[in-house]
Amino acid sequence: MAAILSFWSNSRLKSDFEQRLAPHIEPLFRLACRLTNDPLDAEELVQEVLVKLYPRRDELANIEQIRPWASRVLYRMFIDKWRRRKLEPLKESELPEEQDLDQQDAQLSAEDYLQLRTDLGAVQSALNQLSEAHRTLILMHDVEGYTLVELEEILEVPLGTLKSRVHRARARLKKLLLDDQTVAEPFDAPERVSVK
Amino acid sequence: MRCQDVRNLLPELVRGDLNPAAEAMLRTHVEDCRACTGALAREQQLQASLKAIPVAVMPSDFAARALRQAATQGRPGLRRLVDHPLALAASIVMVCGMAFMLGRELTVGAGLEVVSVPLGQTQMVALKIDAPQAFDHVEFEVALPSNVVLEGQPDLREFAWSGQLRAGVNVLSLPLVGVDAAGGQLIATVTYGNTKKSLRIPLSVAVGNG
Ligand SMILES: [Zn+2]
Repeated sequence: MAAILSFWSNSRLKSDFEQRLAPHIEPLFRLACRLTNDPLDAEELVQEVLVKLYPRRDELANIEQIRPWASRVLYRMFIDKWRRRKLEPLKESELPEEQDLDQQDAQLSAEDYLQLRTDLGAVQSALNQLSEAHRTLILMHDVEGYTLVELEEILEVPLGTLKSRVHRARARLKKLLLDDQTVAEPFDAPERVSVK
Repeated sequence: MRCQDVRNLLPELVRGDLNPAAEAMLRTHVEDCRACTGALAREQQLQASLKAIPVAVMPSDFAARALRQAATQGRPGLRRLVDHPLALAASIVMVCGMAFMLGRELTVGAGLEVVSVPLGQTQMVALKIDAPQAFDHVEFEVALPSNVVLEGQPDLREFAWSGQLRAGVNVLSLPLVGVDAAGGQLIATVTYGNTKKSLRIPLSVAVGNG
């Protein structure tokens, strides 16, 4: 059977699509790597995002800030499909954790601040001990450099809530980076596998 | 400002997220406060380490590959035609094109029949590409002569895309509209790795159906 290759109808739109998205593939790939923690999974996730975005290329033509727009699609896809499909262990909701960490607890004394370990290995290991919600915030905001305004769009969380979450996430990270390491994330263990 | 309030804002200070007034106020305090100077240095180190957390390097060909893949999967026209290859058969002028085999460069041109495209009307022109085996990641390029345009894409003179050849007969069909009663040559090129084959198809445009 003959295979008919017929490409003309979308040739021009396709090149617009490619041109507009090409500069953002690398940041999307990085974000996907941060979320999935695996470069092959990241490639697959970005590919799925692009397939999902392609039918929306007319909408894309009118979007000024492509990176947060596409990042939001990627993040949603990661949460809704990807993580569920891969049956990654989900940690407890961040809400009890936030209640647990009151304002007083979130503050570091001057002495604490000077005790803080800041070497790369310690920072990486502390980050891995954070709840997923907090880790994602730190990775996106402090590591990848997304602004809070961008994160408001990507994570669909109001700015005020984001600010306090970032504050709490950083405070939690710093507690983990204190030399004595007495403060652990309250809901770190046991992890559960969520099957929805 | 209290030291505790200053320390709470150190991450924003290091990131440069504060408004100028707040930043000036903080810097003034930090300059005069040893404890806060030390804390600021720690905060800077912490944020530098966060920024230094390694991440995989994206393969250099990934962006182009992924974008093309998305465009290929998202093409409704392609699926429609593949599902109903015979629907268009009646109106197609079939050009017996090339046999795509690995090897040296090859240009097919001499001896091809002139394809006639009516002025102001669409003629589906199909190029046959014979492949002895399937090829992935094949680059296709088409350059149109000035006497025809692609239906619905009057400004598109040259276009390229990536796709695959299946084993057997592949058909590349182009809806051409004659715009100028003149002669010309359509050039179709198929590239796979180092193998590059071109097809030069003489096109004539005539008033009325030629
Ligand atoms: Zn101070």
